[in-house]
Amino acid sequence: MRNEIRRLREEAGLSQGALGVELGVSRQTVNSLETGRYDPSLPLAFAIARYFGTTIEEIFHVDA
Amino acid sequence: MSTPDARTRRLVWWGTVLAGLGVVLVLAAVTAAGGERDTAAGLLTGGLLVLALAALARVRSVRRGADAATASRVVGGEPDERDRLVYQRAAAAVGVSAFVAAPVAMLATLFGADAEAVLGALPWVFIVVGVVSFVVIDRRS
Repeated sequence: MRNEIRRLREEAGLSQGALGVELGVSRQTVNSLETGRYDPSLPLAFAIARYFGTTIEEIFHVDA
Repeated sequence: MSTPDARTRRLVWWGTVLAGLGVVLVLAAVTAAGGERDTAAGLLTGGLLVLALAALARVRSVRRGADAATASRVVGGEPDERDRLVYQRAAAAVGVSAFVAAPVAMLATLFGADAEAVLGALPWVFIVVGVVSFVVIDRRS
């Protein structure tokens, strides 16, 4: 699943580690999310959307 | 997938480690009482080494937090949802390998392999499968 996490994080001026601390996950997990190797659980997806002040649909895109 | 709070995670980790210590001590005592002093010493050494490694992982996962390795966070009792997924998939791989290893071990024994050696090899097979699976799944997810 593609996502906008890297763009949103860089726009917010955050490192992967800093975003991980905000979301309660590891830097490795943030990296895996950004590269699309790991799809988050629904609660984590909501936490990411809430943190960036947007919706899940605007962050995650199902691959065509 | 909800993550338990820090206090619960700490309690679960300490409970697991203390239970492990109890099991190691009881097994070593029972084995020593049965006259197998070398086996008891091996149990004690191996068990305490594993517990010491778990304590080291705990220190690393608490001190380094988000930057600790996946294995450190899992063994140290501070996994996030991706760490738990990696661990669960690796454990599942060990479970599946048991279905394969058990009949293979039985057939090997039927064809004349030393049963004691086959039984002794099985835990090592599972450890190797678990470690390799964990590393591969961690790198791919």
